[in-house]
Amino acid sequence: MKQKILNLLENELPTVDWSSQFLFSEMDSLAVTTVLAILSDKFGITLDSEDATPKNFMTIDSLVNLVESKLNAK
Amino acid sequence: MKLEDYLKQDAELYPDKVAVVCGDNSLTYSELWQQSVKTAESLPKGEIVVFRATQDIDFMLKYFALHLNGSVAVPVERDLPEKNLQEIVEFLKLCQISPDTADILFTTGTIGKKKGVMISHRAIIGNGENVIEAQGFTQDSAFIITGPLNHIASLSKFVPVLIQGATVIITEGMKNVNDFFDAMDLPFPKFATFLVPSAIRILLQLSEERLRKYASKIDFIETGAAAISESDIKKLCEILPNSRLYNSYASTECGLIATYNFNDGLHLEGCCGRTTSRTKVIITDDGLIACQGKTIMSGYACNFELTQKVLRDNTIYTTDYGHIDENGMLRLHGRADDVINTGGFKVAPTEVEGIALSMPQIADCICVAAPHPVLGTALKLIYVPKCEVTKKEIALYIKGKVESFKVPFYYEQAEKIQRTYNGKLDRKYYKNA
Repeated sequence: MKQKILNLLENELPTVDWSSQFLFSEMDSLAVTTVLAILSDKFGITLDSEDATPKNFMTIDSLVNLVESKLNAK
Repeated sequence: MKLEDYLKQDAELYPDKVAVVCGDNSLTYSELWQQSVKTAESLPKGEIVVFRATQDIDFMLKYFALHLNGSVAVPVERDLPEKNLQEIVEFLKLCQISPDTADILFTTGTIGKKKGVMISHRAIIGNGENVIEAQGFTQDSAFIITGPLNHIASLSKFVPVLIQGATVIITEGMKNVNDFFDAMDLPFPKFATFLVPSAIRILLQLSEERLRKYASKIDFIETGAAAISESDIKKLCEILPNSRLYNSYASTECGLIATYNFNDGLHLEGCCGRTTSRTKVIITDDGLIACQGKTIMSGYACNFELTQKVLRDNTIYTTDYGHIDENGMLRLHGRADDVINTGGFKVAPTEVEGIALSMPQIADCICVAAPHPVLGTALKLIYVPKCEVTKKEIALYIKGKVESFKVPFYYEQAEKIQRTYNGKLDRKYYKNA
């Protein structure tokens, strides 16, 4: 799961350092929106503005947790 | 009166009123005035001062303090590489600037060289008066700033706020949309904001229902700096039926020229409304828009030749095509130059190409506009490699040399780049592709 998400995001947003311990600071509004749109589309989940928090965008693992929690809630 | 005279007056008239909020910090008008005066003590007098546009109250204090000292404020992009910032400092050392210059704002020129737009105190106030008159900006408005403060669209909003004794809320932008909504939970009767079309797209895509819940609090939203799509116009009108929704035509060189409330039942796309009372629009024989009035710039710093090209007989000649329709409304058609507008930021493709070509692995390239679901238009780099190179390597190389909005979003490898018979990049070929 983590590798799949990493590959998807690295391809779309190549300037982001996905090993960062605070991804949110690496991104602009477009990057955040792009991440939410890609993950919603590829995993069939609904991610909206309330999910765009610094906590959910802390690390790549935080994003993996976000996706998994949405999948479990389905 | 200058902007800081209004600030002093506000501090006397409404000392305890909240002037600015940023995150957990806020200042009353009395505090804002006192702290601006104190900040001025440690800043240069009568000089040109280049500084980063941080998105906070410190920026506001420094901006007012520089004006109080008779200095010229030159706010630049927060993430501008240090080398580029120093180039601006050195460039401005050679400058003879117009008297009464308050600010120099840098925008992108058609050949990639930055242009320092000199804005007088008189133009700043004229622009603020235009906003108040054309958009009904009142004292009980709390204006939420979401864009970078070195950009005229955000920076200029301090003016109507101070003239009216209203409140400004500074946010980090639309990265954390929650901050935008949190701002509207603050105890102010009504809110107004400026959002570039891509920020509106983000709101509609991620927060449609949430936006609906705040509809009664939103007095008005202004958009501009890029074209907004007809579908977004209609959607926004449906979600916010009682708010005023303005599409504006403005520029760093001219200030606010025209504005149109597209929540009028007609929802006219590409319409910028009637001109503001302190500006006049002329359509040239070539169909280009020209502007006159109190709000226009004094010229480009250190660039007499370019100033002469754009500013003649107190008239600014733009590179935007448009016409005045039968109802006296200004309609936009597009641009006459190669500059690409991405998310409200203007980018000269030549600048991006020059940087990409300085990368040893790239033999040839062209930077073009490509459709993007959020930005409307994004930059795309089509490149011919000399040897193996990844999209990530190219993107990071460019990111290290310019502001982040100039880094292409899309990359396409090609065997050759189309050129005209005399060897120039064939931009028309890619525009029509």
